[in-house]
Amino acid sequence: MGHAMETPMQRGSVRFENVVKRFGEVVALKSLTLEIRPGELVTLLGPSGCGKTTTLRLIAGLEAPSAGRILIGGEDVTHLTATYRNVSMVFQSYALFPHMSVLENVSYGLRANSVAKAEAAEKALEGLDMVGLEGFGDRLPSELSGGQQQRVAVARAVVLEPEVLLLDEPLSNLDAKLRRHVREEIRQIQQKLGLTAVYVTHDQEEAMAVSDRIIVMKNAEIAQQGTPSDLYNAPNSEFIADFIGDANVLDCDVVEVKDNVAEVVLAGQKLKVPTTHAEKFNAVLIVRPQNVRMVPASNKTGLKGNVSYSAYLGNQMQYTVQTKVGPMFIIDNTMGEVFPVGKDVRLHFAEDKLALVPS
Amino acid sequence: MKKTATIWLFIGLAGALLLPWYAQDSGFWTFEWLFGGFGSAEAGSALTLALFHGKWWLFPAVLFIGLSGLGLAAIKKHQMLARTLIIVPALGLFTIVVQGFVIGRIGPNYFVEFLSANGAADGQIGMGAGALVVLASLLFMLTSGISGSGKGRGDAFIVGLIGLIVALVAVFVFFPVSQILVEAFKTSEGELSLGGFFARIFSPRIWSLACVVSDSRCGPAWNSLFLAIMTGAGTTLLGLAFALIATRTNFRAKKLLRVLTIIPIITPPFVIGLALILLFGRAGTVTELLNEFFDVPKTRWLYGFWGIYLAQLLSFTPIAFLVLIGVVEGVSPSMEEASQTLNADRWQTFRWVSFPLMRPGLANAFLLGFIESIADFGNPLVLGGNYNVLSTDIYFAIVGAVADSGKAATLAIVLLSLTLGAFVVQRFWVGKKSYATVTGKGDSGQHASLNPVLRTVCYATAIPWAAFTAVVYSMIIFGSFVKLWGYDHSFTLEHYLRAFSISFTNGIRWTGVAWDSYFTTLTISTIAAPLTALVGLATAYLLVRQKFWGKGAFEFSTMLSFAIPGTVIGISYILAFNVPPIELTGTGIILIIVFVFRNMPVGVRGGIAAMSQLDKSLDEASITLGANSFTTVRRVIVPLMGPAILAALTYSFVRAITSVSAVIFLVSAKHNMATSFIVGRVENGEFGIAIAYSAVLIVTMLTAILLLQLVIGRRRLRREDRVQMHGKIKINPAGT
Repeated sequence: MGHAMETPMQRGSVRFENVVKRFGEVVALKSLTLEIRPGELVTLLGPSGCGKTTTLRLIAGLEAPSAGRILIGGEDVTHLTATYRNVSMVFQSYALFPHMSVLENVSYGLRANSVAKAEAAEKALEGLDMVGLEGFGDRLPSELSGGQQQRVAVARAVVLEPEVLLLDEPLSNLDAKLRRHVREEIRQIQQKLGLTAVYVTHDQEEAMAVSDRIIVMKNAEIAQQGTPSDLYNAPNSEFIADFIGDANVLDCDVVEVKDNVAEVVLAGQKLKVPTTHAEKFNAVLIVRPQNVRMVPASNKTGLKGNVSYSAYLGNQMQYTVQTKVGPMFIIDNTMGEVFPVGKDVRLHFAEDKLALVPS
Repeated sequence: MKKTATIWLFIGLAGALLLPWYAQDSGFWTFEWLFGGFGSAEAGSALTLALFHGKWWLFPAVLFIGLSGLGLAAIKKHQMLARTLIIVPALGLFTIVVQGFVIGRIGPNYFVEFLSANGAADGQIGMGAGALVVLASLLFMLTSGISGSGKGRGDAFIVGLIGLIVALVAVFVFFPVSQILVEAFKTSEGELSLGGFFARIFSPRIWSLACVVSDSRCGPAWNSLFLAIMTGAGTTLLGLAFALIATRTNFRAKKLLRVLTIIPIITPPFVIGLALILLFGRAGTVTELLNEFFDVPKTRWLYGFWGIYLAQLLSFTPIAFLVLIGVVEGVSPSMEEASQTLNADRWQTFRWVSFPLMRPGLANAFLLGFIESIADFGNPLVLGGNYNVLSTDIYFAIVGAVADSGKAATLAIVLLSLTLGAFVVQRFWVGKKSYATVTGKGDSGQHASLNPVLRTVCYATAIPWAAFTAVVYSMIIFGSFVKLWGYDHSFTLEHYLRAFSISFTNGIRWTGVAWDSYFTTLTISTIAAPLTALVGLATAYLLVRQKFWGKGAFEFSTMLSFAIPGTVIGISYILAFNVPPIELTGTGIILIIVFVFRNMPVGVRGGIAAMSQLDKSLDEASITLGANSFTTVRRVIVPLMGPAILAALTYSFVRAITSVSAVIFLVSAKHNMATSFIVGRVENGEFGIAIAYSAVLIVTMLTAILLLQLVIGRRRLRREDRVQMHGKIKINPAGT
């Protein structure tokens, strides 16, 4: 079916062409176009209600698009239901079948795809080995801890050797310490099997930690996509800057743009900031908290400020400093001089690490 | 798509070419039609009848099946085939239905001259196995076409299921009810008239208020309304008292309280009426005692409003209790605790927090009591006296000296309007305002206990009432062992013997008068129960788990039959299924069908409740793992729905045994049901045998419930036994 003259795409690729999804009056996706390459782990990141889970469910075939085309491995699957798509999914709630043993859970997909019983059991056991659950096959899901249930869910999805593995906030039911451990495991399995994976989360740190590429979504469309460092160092909007890591967003005047460097005036201070823009534009300045250095007020240069809050966190100090351009959040990792509340200070900026985004 | 359609094509071909198109006098399963040959005029298939017996209007049945087959064989393009499989079977269904209505039993109903001149003058009888198979085949080819066209998410199984249930509800709920409307529009000459319709609907015979100003009787509509409002209010208050005691006090015999309120569900409808007669009738125990010691004159006060009212309060208070216990429990303890930490005392907490939160639930309970009362048939039949209500008037219009189906239809429409009105208010006004929020989050914390005054009030109402209920029920047992109540109180087994004696001379002979109806009842209930559960739970599955166009209307229509009083269903079935194309009156099938569609809403509700507790991601997990909907249902949903299936089975079985209102119109000499047999005995004044039979029915139902628990409960139990060793089973897979 469909247009055979497409550029051939490899197994494991995903492509959305102008996909629209409406739920009655509500628009969940406005004309989304995206491409996911085979073998990469892409995270869909965004605040709740941004359309990231809808996108995932569209790839799975659990929702049908209102318009547009979806291709998996170069084949048009727009009208195929989840049953007939070669993708599998790890659910936020794990969705383990409570009345089946762990082994029955893991071999369920194989059995549903008419794999013989013995072979299915064998593959399922291999899958359990892979996630470190050998010997747990006879247990019921309710007899496992949260982290173990999680791994069963992963095993159940990967034993089918899907073209695309979908993960819907897989860590949200785990406690903070376990999360780091399990996300490393998921990443390792994904890389070992060379699976294409699409990962949904609203936790930017998690996204940064596991992804080859992040697609940030906002208001039913893509806000920005790129590698974690692209997004962190060169955000294209105030939203991205604020969403990926902490940022101080400051009003400033752009005086001149030349050779990818913008000359910026911030409360009388002149700064040279890297930019991709070729011409002058209205912008706000993005300052990461660790890119500001506090010096005593006796210094002649730097933005004047007054410490209104300070907190000791063991490996770092966190400050809020009141300045002419508003309050600024500052992190000091050097653990050098400590500035108490009420102290006047001067602020120096690491200019090459600042970013400008259109206002 | 293609596979499913091809299977149905062959089934359809068999139906059109081999099976007898018309219903067989000797019944299908005797297979006598096989020997008559499908070439005969009686047992012919659509093809042979059309070719050799001049019934050319059956050609489309063969034609459209054939065309679908051609399409399946010739069309290679997927979309084109899907479209063909939508259009061709749809046309086939349409023409078959049209011919069924146009050509009736004694000749054409429409286009009379033209059709009579062309071979249809003799008319035709009701459809049979061949027609059924052909229609099913066309329907499922149509649904597989729809699923293949890629509109919507459903696979062939889901779309087929939707199509099947829509078709069943259309044929067995909407079609009969619409026949009442048609009947009510008809004048005595058989013509349709709008003016006559309104004149009848608003006739003073139905709406008279004469009783307010004079001694003459009021119209049945006002009587029914007044009774329903009183019953709704009464059952709600009593139910609330019970619910408060069960949840907010340390009352010791709470369990007993629950049992006492569950019993009425397994009580045949007029048993309470009979027991009341034994207590308060002219020869009743209480009447006699009062007469003897206080010289209170013996009167017939029981036969009229107060008798019905008392019986309905006894019958429907448990329903209010069941609703309100959920409501009272649904008020989150943390809200009450919050109120108390804000220094409100117990009375203030109840008045300002708990009660306002319960208010929508109370309205709900009231409306349910209202609907139950207005639809009630058994109690007014036994105790009505001169107090006419709509439901019994409908019955008397049909079985009276002159069967007046027009009058019955008119009364049925009035009754239907009242219940539907209440139903709509309940669904769209009260239902939306409900605060009862079950979040699924465990709410620890304690319900505030009642303040002393309120507690005393609750005890003072509920405990005497519970005691009264106990007395009423013990009357059933006593009454069945007594020769002639009120006159001769000597012990006897005579009633049981007359009803259930067995003679062993010349082998076993079931000589008791009740055996016939007893076996029929058991057989029909046993067949109806699984079908009801199946249809109800399948509908629940579609409503909870599937998205499709027109789902809202679909849900409303399946719940509709809940709001249709049994008497209305009964009369509508007589009107609809007494003539071709579907002739079912006098058969056992019509009884099964009426049970399935009357009790289906309960299966739907129960299924929805159970299915909503199953995390939706379980189905989605199964589907993304490559299982289709059918496998998902079979391997994931059904195993997790054990309790709901059990409840649906039990309920539909019990309801089939105790139901009387719809059944009484549809029984026949060959297929008599227990309840209508008992009504007959009551009408003859043979209370002893009626009560003995009722007691046997209650025991039968209890046994059946226990058996079902054993058979179906076992699989679940084993699972739990196994789990017990390690920990508790969790249905919600998210839990850690």
